[in-house]
Amino acid sequence: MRAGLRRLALTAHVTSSVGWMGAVACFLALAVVGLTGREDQAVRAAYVAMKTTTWAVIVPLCLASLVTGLVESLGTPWGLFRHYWVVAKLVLTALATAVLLAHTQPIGLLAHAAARATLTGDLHGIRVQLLVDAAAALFVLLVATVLAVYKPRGTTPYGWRMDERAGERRRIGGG
Amino acid sequence: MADSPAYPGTPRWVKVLGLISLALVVVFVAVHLAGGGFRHHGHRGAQALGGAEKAGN
Repeated sequence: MRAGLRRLALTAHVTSSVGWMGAVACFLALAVVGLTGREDQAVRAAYVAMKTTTWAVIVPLCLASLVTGLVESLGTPWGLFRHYWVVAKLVLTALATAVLLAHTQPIGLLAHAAARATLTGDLHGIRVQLLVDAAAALFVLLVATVLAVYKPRGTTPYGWRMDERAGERRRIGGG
Repeated sequence: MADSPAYPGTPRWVKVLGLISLALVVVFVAVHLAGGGFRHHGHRGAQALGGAEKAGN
């Protein structure tokens, strides 16, 4: 990948990933308001806003982060399966994406109930679950950010073999 | 010709992160299955919605 394109991909990846984390933090704040708020209107508004935030911001940024991460790793010497920190980030992002997409249904259900003023006690479990899951998602995204910044050492067996072959080619070429 | 160095093995941080992640996934799945997680969201939610809407009508 050319240097200019690589910088563009990196900018897109950092922007979407950090934006995703910020949006999940907003979602968590709304989930706290939805669970602990005393004013009925504020509680219902929180759940309606959570649905909008999910579909308009979190899902697009999550998918953008995943796609730009794949482009970034495949288009640079880091590779997708050569370094453990890249593999770990990929697994965490894929898991977070799957969990997020699985939660769009209960989020929509709560927003629907809130808009119709039918938030009953039966939905309390889902409301608690969304709060816990949002906190867990924020933690997972924080771990992914730490991995991206620190890039801890560690080559996978595949990456090790690739490095060995590259070394051999250099030796043959040089000798 | 010198032998190529042996693979140094998986770093400790990968093992620790893997174990923590595995534990979190197990807890997450157990909580959802036991406490009416997303497998039950639709069913329970629909019941809650239906009950409330009927009460409101």
